[in-house]
Amino acid sequence: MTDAEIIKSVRNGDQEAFRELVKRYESRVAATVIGMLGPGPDAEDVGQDTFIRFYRHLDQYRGESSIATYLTRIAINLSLNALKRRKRQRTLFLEKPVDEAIDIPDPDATDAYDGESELVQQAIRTLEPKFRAVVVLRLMRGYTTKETADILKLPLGTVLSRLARAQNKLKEILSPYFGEGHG
Amino acid sequence: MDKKMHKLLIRSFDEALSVDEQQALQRALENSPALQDEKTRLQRIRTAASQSQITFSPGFADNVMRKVRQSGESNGLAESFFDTLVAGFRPVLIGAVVVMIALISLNLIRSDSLSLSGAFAEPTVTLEDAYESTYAMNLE
Repeated sequence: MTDAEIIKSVRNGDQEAFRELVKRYESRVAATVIGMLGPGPDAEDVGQDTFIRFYRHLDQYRGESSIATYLTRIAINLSLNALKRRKRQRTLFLEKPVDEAIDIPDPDATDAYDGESELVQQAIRTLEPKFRAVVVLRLMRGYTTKETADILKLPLGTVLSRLARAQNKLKEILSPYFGEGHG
Repeated sequence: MDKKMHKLLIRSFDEALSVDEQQALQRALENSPALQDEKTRLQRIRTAASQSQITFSPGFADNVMRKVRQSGESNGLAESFFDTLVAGFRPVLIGAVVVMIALISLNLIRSDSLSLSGAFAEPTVTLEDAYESTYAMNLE
């Protein structure tokens, strides 16, 4: 069944047909949400909420953008909300800001991380949310800069500026691992 | 490392450079091993980011479908009530605004003055009016 046929079935009352859409787009939503929040229960909840929100507002989906892009937009917005909630909770409970850089292992302990990909993902999660979003969409998901700007509803110049700053920051964080003499 | 060329290098990954910019960057890369190393590092970071294999835990689709079924049974009612409220309120709001505009227009036409008092048909009482009525009461 095509995506359009599945949506038509769901709109006609076939709830189970929605499962096929979930399976088709689960990995893309996972890449977005876990890229933003890191693995864990938060990301699982946000991932589920992304699909639930899409299901509840299926009648509003007109097909102007692809389902993947539509879901990604929802996933990014819910992820940014989750990050704001985390920050508020830390403030409310007077917790020290979590230094996510602590997750990045010792550069000399090469058995502490499972490949460069995981290291880069951890580095991405140390970025501020607004930089993290552009990096997740552009570098991890492979959207063009224009598509990234459309999804985030930002001017193209802002996306390019944030990408440049994020890459410089990532390079600083990862230089002990990706610098001379490593890898 | 030349800061200007470094900026151009970063831009080259995500923007279309002009012909002049491309040539300038190419020359800079040929002449600067440090810039070439920087390009290699950035490319490595970008490649590693794009190769991320990330999935949700097993049973994700089942969890979503369970919530879909639950939302259909209970929250659907609350949602439809709220949606009905919003849908009903909108025409009432529009109607109220139309009536207000009509009344204000009528008051302005009747009062012959473009003022807030005229718009809301406030009776205009001057100090003289107030004084004269009080004086008349005293005489009585």
